Amino acid sequence: MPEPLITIKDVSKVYRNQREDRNVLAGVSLEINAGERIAFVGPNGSGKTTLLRILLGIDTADRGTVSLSAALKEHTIGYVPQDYRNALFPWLRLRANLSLAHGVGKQGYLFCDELSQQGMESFRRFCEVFRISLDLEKYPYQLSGGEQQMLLLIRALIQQPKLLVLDEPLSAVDFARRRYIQRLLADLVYSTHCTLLFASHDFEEAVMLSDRVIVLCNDSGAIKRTIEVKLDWPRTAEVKDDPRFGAAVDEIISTVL
Amino acid sequence: MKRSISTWILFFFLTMMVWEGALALKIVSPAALAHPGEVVRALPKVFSVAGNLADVWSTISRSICAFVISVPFGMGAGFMIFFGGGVRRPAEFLLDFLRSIPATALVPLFLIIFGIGDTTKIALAAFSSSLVICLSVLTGLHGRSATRLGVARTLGLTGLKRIVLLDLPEAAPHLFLGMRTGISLSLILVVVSEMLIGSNRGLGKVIADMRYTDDTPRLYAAIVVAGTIGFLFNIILALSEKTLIHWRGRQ
Repeated sequence: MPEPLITIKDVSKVYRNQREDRNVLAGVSLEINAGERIAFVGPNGSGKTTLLRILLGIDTADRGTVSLSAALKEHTIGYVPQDYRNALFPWLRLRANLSLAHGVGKQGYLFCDELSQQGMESFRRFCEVFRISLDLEKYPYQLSGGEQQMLLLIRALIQQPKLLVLDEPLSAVDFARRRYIQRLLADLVYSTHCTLLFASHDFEEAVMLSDRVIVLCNDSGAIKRTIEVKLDWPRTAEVKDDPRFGAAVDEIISTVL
Repeated sequence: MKRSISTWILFFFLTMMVWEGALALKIVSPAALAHPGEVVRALPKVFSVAGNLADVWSTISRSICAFVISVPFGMGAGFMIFFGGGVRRPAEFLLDFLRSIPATALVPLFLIIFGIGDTTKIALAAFSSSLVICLSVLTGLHGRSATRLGVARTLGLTGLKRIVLLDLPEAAPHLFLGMRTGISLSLILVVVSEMLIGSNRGLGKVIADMRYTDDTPRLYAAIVVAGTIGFLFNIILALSEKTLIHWRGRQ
């Protein structure tokens, strides 16, 4: 058995306010292997975002540990936060925002908003497959919410990450495009053997893209249940016709409710 | 548009009527309040006490000088305190205390340190202005978006690059607020010290002199000029804020 990529041990986090203390996470333990695809679902406030932030090291746990394997530290991590409106730097043009990603900006400058030729090419390719056109001279606030999320997703993917952490990455994307992007993501994650951790309110999306769905509990902050998704990869459009797909979605719904 | 212009004119005439009315009905003595016409006629004299614009210009240049000195000092101190680790808490406490001292109470101390001259006036104004700017930078840095900080971390933004691309723009809207307060404060303190500290030029000196000579119209004219300078300073900063902080309120 190889060493897990990420080991989460007994992680707890309490949010305190004047009225009450709320256990957002309580004793969450989890092992994530390289190449695994895990979905986190649960009602608002169940700790999905907090858990992802803690394992990225941008939030701290009150108790418990998160250890990343040494292999991961050498690689870049693609991250799309839930709060897409504050995820881009509004004072920089899209070009500069994009150039902040690893290996996309021109090398050898401290401040340079130009993209390398390779970076520009992969940006164009992503725009093409996602069927979206983004004007790099614009500022983030000139984009719609969906476009901002698409840019964030492209910025995460363009780095060819070994770990992709997506926090409700398609919440503001319109329905038709969301379904389309979900399928593209499934292909991409499968073909690049990338480890995927994502939070979602869309249970079909959760099943479509994952090997395991972890249902988090709202009141106790614990893991309520882990649902194995036994569907074959690569996942095509027909996967939704598979009776196991519907069964998994139903299982999530009954667990969350 | 037409309607707004007529409202402006109406408002102006009403103000003038109240002003003249107060004098005509002898509610206020002419020694305390000059006639509007006299003030207007006295305006050119403010500009030509020393034969040219010397007084107005001294006040403007001293204020700008103090402000220009205070911006890098205030910003530098703000960033150093915020990123100073354990120093932050005590330094913020000290800053709050220093800010609470009425700047005019420091005039004698500044006189001892810098002597009588321009240095004292500029130093006093720069001191107060940099405190305000420093505090505004701290407020701006405290209010940085947690999401953007997290994103910066996963993108590997560190050091100078992060300060320039993230921290500085995050603090910029508050910094501008501080700069607007700072430049007003600079003007106030320059005028006050021109009145309190021996000075051969400056609007503060004109105002003090006019009081001694009972020249009320000229006193009012000097006040109007001082107000106009403060107003123009603020407009210049407000306009540059609008162009530089283009993302403000548009996220």
